[in-house]
Amino acid sequence: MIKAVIAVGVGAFVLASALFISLMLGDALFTPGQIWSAASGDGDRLSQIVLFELRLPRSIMALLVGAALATAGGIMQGVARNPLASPDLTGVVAGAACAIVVVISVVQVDTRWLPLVGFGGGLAAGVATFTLAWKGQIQPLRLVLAGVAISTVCVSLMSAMLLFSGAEASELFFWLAGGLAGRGWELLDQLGIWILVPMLVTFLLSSRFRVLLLDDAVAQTLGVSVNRWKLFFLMMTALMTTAAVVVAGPVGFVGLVVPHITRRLFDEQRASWLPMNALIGALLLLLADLLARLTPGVQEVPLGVLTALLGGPWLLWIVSRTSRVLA
Amino acid sequence: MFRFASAALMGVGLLFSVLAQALTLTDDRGEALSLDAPAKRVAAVSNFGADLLNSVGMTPVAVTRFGPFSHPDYLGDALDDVPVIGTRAQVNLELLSEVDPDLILAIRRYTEKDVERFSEIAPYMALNLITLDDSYRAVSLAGEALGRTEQTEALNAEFSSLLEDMQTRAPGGVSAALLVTGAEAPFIYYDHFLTAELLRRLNVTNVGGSLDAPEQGLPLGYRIRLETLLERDPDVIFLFDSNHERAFTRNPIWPYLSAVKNGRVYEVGQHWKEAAGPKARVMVAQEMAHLLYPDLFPMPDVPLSLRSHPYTGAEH
Repeated sequence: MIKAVIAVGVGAFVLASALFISLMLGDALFTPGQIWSAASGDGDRLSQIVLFELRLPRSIMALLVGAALATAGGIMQGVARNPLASPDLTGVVAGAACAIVVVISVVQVDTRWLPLVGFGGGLAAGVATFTLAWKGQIQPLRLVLAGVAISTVCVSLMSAMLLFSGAEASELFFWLAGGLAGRGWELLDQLGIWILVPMLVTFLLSSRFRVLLLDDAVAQTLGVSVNRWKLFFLMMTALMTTAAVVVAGPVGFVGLVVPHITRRLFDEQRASWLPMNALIGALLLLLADLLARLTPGVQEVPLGVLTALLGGPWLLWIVSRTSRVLA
Repeated sequence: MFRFASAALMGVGLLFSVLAQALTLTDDRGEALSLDAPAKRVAAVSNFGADLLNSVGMTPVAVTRFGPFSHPDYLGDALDDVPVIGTRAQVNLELLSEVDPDLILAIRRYTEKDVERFSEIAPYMALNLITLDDSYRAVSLAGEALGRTEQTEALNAEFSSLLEDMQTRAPGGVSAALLVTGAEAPFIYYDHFLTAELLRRLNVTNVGGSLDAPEQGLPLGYRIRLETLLERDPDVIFLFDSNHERAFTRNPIWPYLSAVKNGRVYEVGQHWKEAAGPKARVMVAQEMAHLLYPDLFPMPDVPLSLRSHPYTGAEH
């Protein structure tokens, strides 16, 4: 217990430090003194705007999205009993992206409605996946297959729409690469709660999640309704992933890679595993976003590209390691 | 004998006249383009083509869409009955072959991938149409292909003289940004993009800056960080056409930009994006001059559908 408290305390300190550094760095460098002045209302107006209207909401969003994707990934890998499972397998990533692409391509819509559209699309795809996967119970293999099928349909539809979207295509491609550039408090107000609440609920009920990691028969003997809890955790995953995708676009690999990192550092059966996993995800995405912001050149590198560059080699390593074990 | 000699002479004369009309031109790819005679049935796979043909008194046999419109209103009703064969980047080749053109005027970056299929239908002229020089060169080259060299050279000379006059009169000391897209991060054009180059001719600093190697043409610009935009703080902002409400104008930093505070943000027409044609470039230059220096330059006559207007902004 003491170890867990220390781990969470250290993690929270690292997270706060990273957040502070992300406030300091950008086009202009702010010293801690300048940040303090701006926070206390003494700084110049421009510094206050840059710090608290641009960098702060963006950094908070990076933390939230990273935490949500990592939590969702951890749950997916546990429920699907598959180390290569990721939040994408619920179909919600492709569903949210598809809904946004279709709406932008087909109708003239106020951008304020896009989060709602994406959220609706993601949830619809999630419901479709779970419905297909359900056959009296949630079977891991059926879940994976259903997720792949729904995602494939959504991606095909999205590709067709991109071909016909004309002038909007370049900005849709930019959005699909994932990123937090220009995202502000408004988006956080709209979607923050849909990330935070499901995530906190999964933390509070992590004892149930840990039972699901055991063999189904063992879990049943412990009096846990395995199917009901699997479905519940998958729904939480779908909610927070959809909200994260709507905020940052389809940022890949975080949900896949972070649970593996966390497993190397902490025992999955510890109560603090899910929060620590979220913390590492938050840190990773904040770091990736910082790199995206600070990359030399006039334009930011899309966040999804950076996370793929970080996650791709890790995935290859997992594959090669799995091959060796099987051999 | 006399009949035979006359027929031979006529044949030779005809041959000479055909050879005299035959043209070999080099397009922006550096590829030779052979025409048996000046083109009469031209497919305009760009608004530039439609604009140029209209300027020399010709009508294209096919056009591509002009943004959300089938054709621009500033070309009047001359194009009402002309078939629309897709967009400048996605041409319906079946429809194109049906109109049986004898020349295709197209934008290189959108169509070069399909060069073989275009060339099977008709001689294909690929034009860069990115910079002001591209515009001058394209007008001259197309003029040669149409046998209207005199007219097109006059169009170039008139425009050059107009720009010189404007540059002399424009006081300068103004900065501006040309922004496009509806996303959270706006796309800003580099100096070498034709419309941005017109800013320079009006003694205005384009806050988008310049590409390291402008001769390569692409990219036309980049997605500017809002922090950078705030730091460069343009006096005037021109917003290009977008299908939906621009998300970046709802960012909390937007009201702090000088252009916004001073009410100098303008939504401009689709022709600002495709300003290489002889008519479009004149309209854009004159409209830009008026918006930048309203006391010095009058507002030109621009159709309502394309006329710029102050951006009233998104709600905050």
